[in-house]
Amino acid sequence: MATVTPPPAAPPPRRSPTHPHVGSYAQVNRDIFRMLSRPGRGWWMLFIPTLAGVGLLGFAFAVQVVLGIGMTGLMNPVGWGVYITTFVFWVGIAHSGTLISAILYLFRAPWRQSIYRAAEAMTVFAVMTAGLFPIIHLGRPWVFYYLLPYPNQRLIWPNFRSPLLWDVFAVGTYFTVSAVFFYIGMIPDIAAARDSTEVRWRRKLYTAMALGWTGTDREWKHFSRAYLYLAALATPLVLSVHSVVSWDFAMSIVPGWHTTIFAPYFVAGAIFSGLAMVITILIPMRKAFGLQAYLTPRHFDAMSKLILLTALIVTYAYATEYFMAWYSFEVPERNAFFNRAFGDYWWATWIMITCNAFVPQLLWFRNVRTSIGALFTISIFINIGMWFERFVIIIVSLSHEYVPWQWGTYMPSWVEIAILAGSFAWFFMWFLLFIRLLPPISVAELKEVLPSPLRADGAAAARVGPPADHGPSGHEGVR
Amino acid sequence: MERRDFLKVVGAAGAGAGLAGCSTGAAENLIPYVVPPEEIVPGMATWYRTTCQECPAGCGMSIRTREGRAVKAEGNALSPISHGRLCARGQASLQGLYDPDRIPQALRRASEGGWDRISWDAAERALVDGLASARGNAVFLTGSSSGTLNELIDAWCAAMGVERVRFDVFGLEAVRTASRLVYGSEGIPRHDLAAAEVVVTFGADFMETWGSTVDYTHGFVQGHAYQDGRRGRLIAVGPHLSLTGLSADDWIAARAGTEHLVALAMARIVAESAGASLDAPLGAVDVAAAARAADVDVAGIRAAALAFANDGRSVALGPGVAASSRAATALATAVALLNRSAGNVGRTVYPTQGELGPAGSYAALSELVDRASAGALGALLVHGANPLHGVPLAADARAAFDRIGFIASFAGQLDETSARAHLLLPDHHFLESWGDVEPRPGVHGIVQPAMRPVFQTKQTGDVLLSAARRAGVSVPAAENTFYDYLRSRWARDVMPGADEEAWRSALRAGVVVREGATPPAPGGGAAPQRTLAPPASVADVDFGQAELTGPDSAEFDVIVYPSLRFYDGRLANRPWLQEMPDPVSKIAWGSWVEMHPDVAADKGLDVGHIVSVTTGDGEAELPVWTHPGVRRDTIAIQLGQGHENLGRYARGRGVDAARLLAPIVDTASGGVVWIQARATVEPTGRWDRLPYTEGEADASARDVAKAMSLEDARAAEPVNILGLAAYRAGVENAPGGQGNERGPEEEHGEPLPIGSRVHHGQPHPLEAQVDQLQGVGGFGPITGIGAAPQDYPPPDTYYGEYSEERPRWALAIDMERCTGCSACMTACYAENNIGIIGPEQVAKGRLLSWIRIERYWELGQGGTQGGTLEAGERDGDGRTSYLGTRFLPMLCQQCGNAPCEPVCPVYAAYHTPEGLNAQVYNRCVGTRYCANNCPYKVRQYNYYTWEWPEPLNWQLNPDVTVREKGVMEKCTFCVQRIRDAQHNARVEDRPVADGEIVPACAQTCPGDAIVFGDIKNPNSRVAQVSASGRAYRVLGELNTQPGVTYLQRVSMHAPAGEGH
Repeated sequence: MATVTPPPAAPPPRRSPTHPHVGSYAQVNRDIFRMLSRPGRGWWMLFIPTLAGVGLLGFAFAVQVVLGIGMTGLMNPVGWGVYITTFVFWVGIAHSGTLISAILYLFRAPWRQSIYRAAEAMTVFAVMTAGLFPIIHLGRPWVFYYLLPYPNQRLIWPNFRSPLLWDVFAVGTYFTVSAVFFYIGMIPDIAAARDSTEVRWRRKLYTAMALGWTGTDREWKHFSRAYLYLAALATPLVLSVHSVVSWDFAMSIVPGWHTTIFAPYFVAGAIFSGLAMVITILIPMRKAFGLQAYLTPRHFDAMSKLILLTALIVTYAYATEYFMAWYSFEVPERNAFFNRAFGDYWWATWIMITCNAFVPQLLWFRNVRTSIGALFTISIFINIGMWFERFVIIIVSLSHEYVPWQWGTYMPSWVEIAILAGSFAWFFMWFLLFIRLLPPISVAELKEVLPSPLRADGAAAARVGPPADHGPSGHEGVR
Repeated sequence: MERRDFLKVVGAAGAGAGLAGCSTGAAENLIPYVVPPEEIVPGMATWYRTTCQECPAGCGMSIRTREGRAVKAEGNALSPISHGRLCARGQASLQGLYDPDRIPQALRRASEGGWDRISWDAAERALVDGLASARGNAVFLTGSSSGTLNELIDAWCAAMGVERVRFDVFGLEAVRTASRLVYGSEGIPRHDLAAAEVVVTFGADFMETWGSTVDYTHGFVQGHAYQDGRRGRLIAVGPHLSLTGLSADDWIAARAGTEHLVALAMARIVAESAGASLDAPLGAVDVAAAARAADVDVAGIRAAALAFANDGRSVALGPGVAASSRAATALATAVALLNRSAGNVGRTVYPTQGELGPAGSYAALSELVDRASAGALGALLVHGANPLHGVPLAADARAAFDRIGFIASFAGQLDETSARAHLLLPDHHFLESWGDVEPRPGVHGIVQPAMRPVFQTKQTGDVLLSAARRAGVSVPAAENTFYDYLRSRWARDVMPGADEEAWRSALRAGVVVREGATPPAPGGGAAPQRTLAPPASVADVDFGQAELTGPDSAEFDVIVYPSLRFYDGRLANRPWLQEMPDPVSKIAWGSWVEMHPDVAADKGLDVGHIVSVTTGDGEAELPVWTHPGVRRDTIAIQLGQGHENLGRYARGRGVDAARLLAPIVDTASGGVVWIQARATVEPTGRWDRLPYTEGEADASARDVAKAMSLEDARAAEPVNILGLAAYRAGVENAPGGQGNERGPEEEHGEPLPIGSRVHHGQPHPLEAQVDQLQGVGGFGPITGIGAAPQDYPPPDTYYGEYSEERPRWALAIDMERCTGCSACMTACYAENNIGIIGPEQVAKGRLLSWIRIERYWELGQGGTQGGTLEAGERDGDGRTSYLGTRFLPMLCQQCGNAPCEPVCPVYAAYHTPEGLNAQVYNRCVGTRYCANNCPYKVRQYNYYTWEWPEPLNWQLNPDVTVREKGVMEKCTFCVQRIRDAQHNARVEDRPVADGEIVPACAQTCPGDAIVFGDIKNPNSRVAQVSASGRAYRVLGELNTQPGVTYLQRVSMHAPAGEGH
């Protein structure tokens, strides 16, 4: 691993090493709470399409419920298609948030403060998106509650041997914990927002959400304890959720699924894709709200290094899978992997390998890691590649199983494509609401890393403008 | 308006609307069984025996009725034709009965087009008037028929002054003619395939449409399947392999039109081997020249002939449609000579027991068409024939029919001919009719109604008798009704002097077999009489090579051949048959053209590419299916599709291949020249997603469909994989065996949970051994297992998770006895209410069939020449070669350690105490995880809620749930039949007997390939079959512990692809 280049020698004593262009607490309040204002045209132009997309999702799902799962492209032998692919994709996306907030918190990583809130929000919304799919993919979604273990007169009790049931618990737990973690961490900021807003409904909302936070020492003491414990609780979940999701596959006997590498492989892939999605989201947000002072190249550089690490793990996992398939001398296993690379779905496999194994190698170069445009492009590639990774694992494996007579190919239908697109709309709808309603960057934690204000000479020294390379003001954008 | 008034008005309006909503216009009365009919007990099945009329074979059948409705057709075990089995067509006869497109009542063509509903009274008057207007120039066109209706039609025609013409599309006129010439007997000789060790077929698709297919398949399997170290040999001669050909051990891929040369060459070699001096025509045969003309190896012909000359234990068959060239009569004659020269007559060939009754000829039909186009036909009555479909006819034939002044049709459905009729007099379906057939001399099958008519139809016999009365004509021996006519004829001819009780018992039996009708025991007849001198009557037969004609650029000989599914096309409106993938091509619903894979590759074509096939007489656009069983210079198209009419399931499906042919009559026999055309094939550049159910037909590396050589089969010891061989050795002589012990609920009143053990005093010694064998199985801890592949499945885990006190239901399937005919698939549809999904859904890979026949091509060595042949090129070059086919019937394996069960989050898939993988439909939420995890891919998903248009839904089996969308379904081993038998046994206070429970697939299998029973009972048939040395379990290495044991196919050639 390349070591982080230390900041330029002898920084001015009054500047934060992580946020050299943020000068004062007041500036933080100003810049962050400015986002919690009345949205402008740009925001609406983004938000309305997401509403339309959610409507499309609802329509497509309604069609599928009324007419049947036949509206999808699913068939025998491919019983899981775009829905489960997208489910796993979103669960994977959900990983980086908790990773950044909890694990990096525990490790006291110095670069997490400005990104963790957005990443956590992303986690919660991604789990909310992922949670749609187990319902959507059911043949009879109106009886989804058969999966829930609660005493009932029907004498139906779920089967605890089924990895699908583990999924219900794993994802449910993860959602609960990350939502609580997200909310608890936000309380001081909400209280600050409450105190700084003039808008009545916002004040009411923030008052309710701040739970009476006044910022006393006692509150801070309890808050930091609670936050630490929650971080400790959330950390194993990062590893467990995607392990459990991977067991949906690894516990089965489908060639291409039934491997022991799946849990670590999926966790690495999830972090990989989650970090890519964080970059995909933060870069436009940074641009739109002029947050260059808060989201510095240093942040992106650190995330890029994590992405590079996880990309190497994922690449290693790909190689291992192929090696094991060859080494096993198992005909179905070998064929499954041959089919991945050269079968009907060769293009999906090569999209996956290109995007996930080759493209991230560019991150070895420092000027790529610090180039916002390049990073954004790479993150998009990784998002695509990771969606196709799940596509390859799920669909391509199912298409060539044990009995050659029942080999077949699946192609998604318009309903599935609509629901896939709708899931992105659903996710971004929540995210757009979030950046206008809740502080998307942690005000309190940012202030922790700023030098404490000095009475005498601080005012002049701390007044620092935005970096010159990001435009004259950095304040234009979505209002 | 006052409040009270308002309420009154609203109340009255609401009640009125409600009442109006109740009435559907038709008179419907709900009549409860206050005084139930004597024979109907709600919830109990009543069986009626009758005779199948879907083809002329005349199989005896038993119809299961529930609450007055026929719900299932099965074979009548007393019938010497069906042996208790049915083919797919017989199974689907119920859908003919409940066909939503049947003509509901008598109809008359309205002057402005369309049809007027008329009463039967008016209809019969119209028939008499129509005939009167023809002034004696009327023809009654019927299909080949036998029995009383046939006699009545003859008598009626004579009395009414109507000429009778018979025509059956597959009348096999050449075989009949040759039989007359060579044997001096009428009809198609009866062939005893069970007695034949070597069967040579010259385009005679006896498993599909040639003769009595169920009887022949049954007999063929008896004679051919490996048993006690012996195995028969089937040699197919001809350019194309149909289903029958796929069972062939050798394939002499003679060019179209040269099959008779091969037959003559074989006959000469056979005669030479007997050291006879040879006269013409055999003496003139040049074997080498014949081989050259046929483009095959001399050595192959010689080897086949020498195998054939084996003391009367061989039989040659042919020709069928696929070999009916201009030389069809020559071929039929050569086949007869071949049989004579090998001494088969009287041992495997019985010319005097002519089958299938009298048939007309195509020549008579052509003459009829000529008369019609000359305007010289006043009236035409049609019964049981549809000459305007599936028959090569002159271009103006349809117009000619329009020139007939009066056409009355007795067809039950609006087919191509009846659509041109002026009067429709729909006959009952045979399951609503009285009648009889005589498919073979001395075998009288009774046709009796299984239920009251579905529609306002009327039996043709009654219409004829009634019309004669109206016309004031007296028909000899006429009675008031056709039933009385039938009875009096039986009293006169069939059962003279029989009383009412004898008639009733005949009805109960469904068939009367008179003395002398059955041949002597197989091979036990007279000593073989080899007759080498050809009779003088064959001197006039032209043994020249038959020419095929077509455009100058034509590259391909065109083979047309009959469909197993639709017979001559008359059954194309049966959705079960349309949905059943063709046993060879595995394409459902449509038509296709079969082309050799290499040729297709050369032309840049693959399965699904649409090509234009042009002969001198027509053009058709068809999708390609590549078939290694067709010569490179030949293409093949199936008959039976391409209906313009007949109903919603048939209309517009595929192509009528007969439209590619010219109306050429084989002058020697009066039959159709089917093999006459050469064609060009041009790609259209279009592609279609076919309703094609084959995933990959090369399973060599997977070893799911195993085969072994004859030597290996002989050497194989009964296997121990089941733990049964060792077990049996100890218990064979034990008193009584174990039997299916009554379940513990007998004693305790309620079922015990899985795993609880009840011992009544000391365990029976047998039980102790069973305990030992059962081991721990299932998900319990298993100890002492090695890690090597051969250690799987672990010993003693065969039974999986089960209750020790209950049976463990299991199935054994002998791949030697499976011919791929797919009757089991249709039987399963009928028994288990499986939805019909239609071609688009089949194309998407959503076929719901609970049992499917996987058809794998065998790789490796082959050919009587020896030599290694690669996949796809081991045939078609015209050399004697071999196309190995392995049919693997695949259904739920009812695993002991089922991968589907643990993954279901809601316990919809669970394990019963009797070892079944049950599926609780109303618990299923539709995650499809079970199907993903099923290595056999036998769980089927309801992508939509499927519909049965009224009255097709009347057929639904009331014992089986109808599934809705979103629910996984699968084979249950016909659990409703298991429960039924257990219930009966409990009522009668006895154990369930072995063989008492027969699943629908096993019941109908013409080859007896499927055996069901309790494998824990070592004396059960399934346990004994499963202990065969050929036994294996598909994907047993996954430790699924399947409940289905397969017996390997025995290959007469060294099978490759083993040892993985």
